[in-house]
Amino acid sequence: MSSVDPAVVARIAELAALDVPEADRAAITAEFAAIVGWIDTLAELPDTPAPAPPSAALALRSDVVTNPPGSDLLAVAPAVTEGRIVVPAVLED
Amino acid sequence: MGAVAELAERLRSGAVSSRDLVDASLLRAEATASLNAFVCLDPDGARAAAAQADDERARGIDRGPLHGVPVAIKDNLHVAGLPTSCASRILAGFVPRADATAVARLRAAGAVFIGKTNLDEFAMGSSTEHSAFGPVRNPLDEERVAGGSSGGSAAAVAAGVVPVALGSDTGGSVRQPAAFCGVVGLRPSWGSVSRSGLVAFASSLDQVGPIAADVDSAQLVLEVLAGPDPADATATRSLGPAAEPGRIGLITQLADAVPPAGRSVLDRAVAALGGAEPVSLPSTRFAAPAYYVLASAEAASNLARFDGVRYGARVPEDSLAAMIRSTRSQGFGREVQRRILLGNFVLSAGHRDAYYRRGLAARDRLRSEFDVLFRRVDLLISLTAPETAFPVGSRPDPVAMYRSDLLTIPAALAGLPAVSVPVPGSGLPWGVQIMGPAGADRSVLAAARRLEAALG
Repeated sequence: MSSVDPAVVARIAELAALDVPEADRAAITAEFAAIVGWIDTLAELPDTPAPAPPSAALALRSDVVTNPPGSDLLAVAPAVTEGRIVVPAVLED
Repeated sequence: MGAVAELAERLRSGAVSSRDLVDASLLRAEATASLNAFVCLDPDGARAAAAQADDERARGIDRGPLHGVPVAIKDNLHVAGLPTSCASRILAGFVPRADATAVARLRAAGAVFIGKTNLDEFAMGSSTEHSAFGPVRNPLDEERVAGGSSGGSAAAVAAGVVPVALGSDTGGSVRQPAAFCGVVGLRPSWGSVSRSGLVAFASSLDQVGPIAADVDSAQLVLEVLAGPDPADATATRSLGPAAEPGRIGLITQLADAVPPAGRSVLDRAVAALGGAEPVSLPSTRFAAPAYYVLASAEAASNLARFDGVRYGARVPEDSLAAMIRSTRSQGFGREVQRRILLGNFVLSAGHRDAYYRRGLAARDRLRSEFDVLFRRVDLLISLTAPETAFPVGSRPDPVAMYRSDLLTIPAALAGLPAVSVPVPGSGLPWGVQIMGPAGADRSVLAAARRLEAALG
């Protein structure tokens, strides 16, 4: 069980890299509290661990890396210069 | 013979050309534009591909079972050269350079793509109302939703624009819209069809599947789609042999969750299959909450890549952090933001054990219960949705929307093949769902075919 308040929503929004505008904060908090109240059903799950289901096992084949050409990656980027993706400066001069 | 095989036969015999079929398909799409089923049509590309298909045919080349047949693709699957929007503003301007594997396989089998279909943004929804392009309307009653998230694909098939369309099913997104629109929707076993080129929502659940006019057409397309793919390490499962339907179990918890009108539809279907024995799946009550915890957690990770740096739209800001935050806040719609917030919440310090780990435990428990059931019965039956298509705009409460997925979620969580078969009646159609063990896709389809024939 968990209580949801505007501070929790603000912290989660920070983790999610999303803005929650001040004006919407109360409505979003109420909506979020209702969803969390519903998923709290999981607290009633019996504590005894279920045996690992054999059907969950899926044989993975070995991974082979096949990257598309760099030009394909650059072609879909919003801002490119001289073969590089442009972003605002991260480090100060 | 199904609608797709029939069209292919008429093409093969020369009774009709692919150009004619594609023109008719495009005309039908325009005549039913009020459905909002398509986010983009590609008349030029489709006509050129149809002309090529006809030319190849004239030269004796047969590309395969879909040679010259018009098909529509949900707009979260890449078709090289056409925009992939995922019905989101954040992907504005994004044009993939390569086909998704599923799309490439249809193309190799001769399919002609007429356009991309509308969906809930990033496939997150059960009504196709959460689309940046507006809601899809149900062809059987335009005041009602088409279901979701593959609502555009279901509407396009139900409206007779195409005989088959691709959708994706994470928690029911192929089966429920198929049920609402009165067509067939198939979720293949998880791991039987490559997801490479499907924009990821929840990778442990996402599956590509056909929505078609009939069971035969759905199977024909599945046979083209299935098989290993070097680009998707999880595509390792076979479809299994087509065993004749044997013992069928009726999951009592799912049967009890539907209103009387639905229950009588389910009873009709059970009778058409020669009866079913009641069986119990006790963890059903945890399935939908577990699904929303796990799917949202995976969505929070998968959608972290949409940051305005590498693809799609970008909102310019002075700092990188502000650019990323503004791009995501303005680019994602309300429902997607809600799921990303929920995903971050259930994964965050202090909540991970209470939600994410319990969600995983609930899924394990459900899988074990399915394993036990499949030692007693060969297949399981339920309705696809606890209701028929509801009016557009009538379900603003997210929890009410999430709860309505309770019948499609169990098979999704367990990775099982499941197909929705429409039940014709006097009013809006209901869908009946047949589920089987993972890797028993052809047996599930054999039972669905028998149900379809019996319900007539």
